Amino acid sequence: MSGLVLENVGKHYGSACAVTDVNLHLPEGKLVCFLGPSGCGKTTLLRMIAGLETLSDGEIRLDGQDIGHTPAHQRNFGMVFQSLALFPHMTVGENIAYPLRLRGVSKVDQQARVTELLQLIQLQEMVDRPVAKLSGGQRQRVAIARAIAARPKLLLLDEPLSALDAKLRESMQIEIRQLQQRLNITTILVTHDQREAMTMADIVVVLGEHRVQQVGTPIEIYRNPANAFVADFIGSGNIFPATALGSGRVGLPGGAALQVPICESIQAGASIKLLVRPEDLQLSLPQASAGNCLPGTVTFVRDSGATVETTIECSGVSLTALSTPCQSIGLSIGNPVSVTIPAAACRVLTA
Amino acid sequence: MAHSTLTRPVGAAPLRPAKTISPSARAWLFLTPSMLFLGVLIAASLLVLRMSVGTKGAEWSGFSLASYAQLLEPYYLKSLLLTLRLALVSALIAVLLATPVGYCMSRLQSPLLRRVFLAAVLMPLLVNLLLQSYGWLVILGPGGMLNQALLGLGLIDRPVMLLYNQTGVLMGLVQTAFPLAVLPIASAMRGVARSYEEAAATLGASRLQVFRQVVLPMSLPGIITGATLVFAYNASSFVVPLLLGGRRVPMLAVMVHDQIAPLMNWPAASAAGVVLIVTTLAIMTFSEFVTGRRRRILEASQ
Repeated sequence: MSGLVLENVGKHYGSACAVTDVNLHLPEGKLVCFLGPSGCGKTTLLRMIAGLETLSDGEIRLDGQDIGHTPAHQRNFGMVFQSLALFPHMTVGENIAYPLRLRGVSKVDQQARVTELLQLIQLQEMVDRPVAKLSGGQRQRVAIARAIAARPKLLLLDEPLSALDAKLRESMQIEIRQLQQRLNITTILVTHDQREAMTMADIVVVLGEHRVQQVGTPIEIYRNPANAFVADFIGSGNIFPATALGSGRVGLPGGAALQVPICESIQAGASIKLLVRPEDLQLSLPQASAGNCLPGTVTFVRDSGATVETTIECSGVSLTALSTPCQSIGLSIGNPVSVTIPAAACRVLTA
Repeated sequence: MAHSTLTRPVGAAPLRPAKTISPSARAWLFLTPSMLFLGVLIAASLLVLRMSVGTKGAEWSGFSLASYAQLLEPYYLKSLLLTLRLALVSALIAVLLATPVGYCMSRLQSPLLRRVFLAAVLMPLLVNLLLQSYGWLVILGPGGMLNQALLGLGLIDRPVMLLYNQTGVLMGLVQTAFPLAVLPIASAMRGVARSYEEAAATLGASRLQVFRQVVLPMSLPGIITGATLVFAYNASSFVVPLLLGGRRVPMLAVMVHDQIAPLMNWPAASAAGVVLIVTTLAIMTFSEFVTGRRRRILEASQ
């Protein structure tokens, strides 16, 4: 199988488990994102792929070849560290040329490649600057240029944008994504920022509690979370307990019933969890409850200008609805309201 | 002012009047004890400078450059060059030996192990110089342990002369000044974050290349500091050349002592001392000049 394959990969320190039982196939030319809360083992996994951490279990294969125990410097992967780790005793040009120098590339070819890469990252005039004189975004780009200088088979990014301010981070996300697509280089990005993952990734690997929770495209993961962990971690969502009543009906704690997509594997009477995204809830002036339209009371309104978040107490659960100012019907705390929960927007999660 | 009520309740006690002492004056006050101490030292140095241009018997009133002229005689000139050479060579050897030790110390994970290592490295500073030198005598002397062992093994038939020559003094100088080299090097290397080494490794550098091309250049300021310290310390070394060199390795400090103790020639001793201080300072300034730019670049990045 071409691309990178991880089979039963695990790492533990003594009895403490960092990550376990990882089975992944990373196709060539894609950007794969390891997404998870801090301490979920995503960085450990990346470091094992880079060869900076030994494997406790399993195998890593690249294009069919077992590389699990190859030392880092023989793997030919480019890596960008969270701290960037640009060498302060070298200029921008020397930093980018360093992997080429290690491979015995001639001075002329080194220079040609450095010029080419500096053009790519639009920092031609910075070639002789010491790295300390660069701004955060410029350093970021130099670190990426250095990582791809020797045309690595894999580009590994370990939360490379976490040190940048929010605005710069957003533009760098797009820049890195465009660069990756242009070079068509297989890339793994580690992040805890789900917005970053959604912006950049072809495939998202959600990690949590030391194992892989779900693998899928960003929209699949957002729309069809495999379990309560993923549903809770990705995006904001209303997750609340309910009881299955059979034939696609569920009962809320407050007694009201909802129609949801039929889930074959769940028996009537089982307790489940429901996920409804805030943007799927529709609010209207009080009207007779019918089908998935339930009465409720507004308990909080957060109007941030661009969006309005309304929290409603409804049949024993607290729901948050997200609407645009033009959809808003001017509610304030204590107002009665009707909430429509479209059946198609409900996800049944096994509790 | 309308806003004052927000910060200060009406009727609150008046603020204490600001101290009349200015912040910079307070800083000087803080420095006073150490300044006094340094002042005495500087005064003593100036007295030495004064005596060096005096004449024997009239150290405070006479004026003559004869003592300096005397230092240009081959005997003294040789001693000066010998002193500088031994100090320099011992600094190079100490740094060469201290670099791997410093690297090892900087990468120790366990705090206990690090403390044990540190204590071992600091030993020479804790044990009296005289005792250390006698230790070397016991080991290296003509009837010492090393020669006994070599003779016993039949590797040599006459004792090897390791003492009362430059080799013996050099060994003593390197050993006694070793901690001065290790400490700044270890601290500089601890400043080189692990991620730099890992970055170099992922870019294709072997462990040796990582050390040579990343760790060494990045900790160069610490290495230079170590070398400079050892150099300055050994240039004025007295006990080691006296005990391990006998009178055959006349380093300048020994000569200074000889000028004073048996000969009572204060101007000559002072002139030798002044020359020693000036040369050492000149060499240290030069090393700072050479490495200053790189040090500033590295410091700006950390």
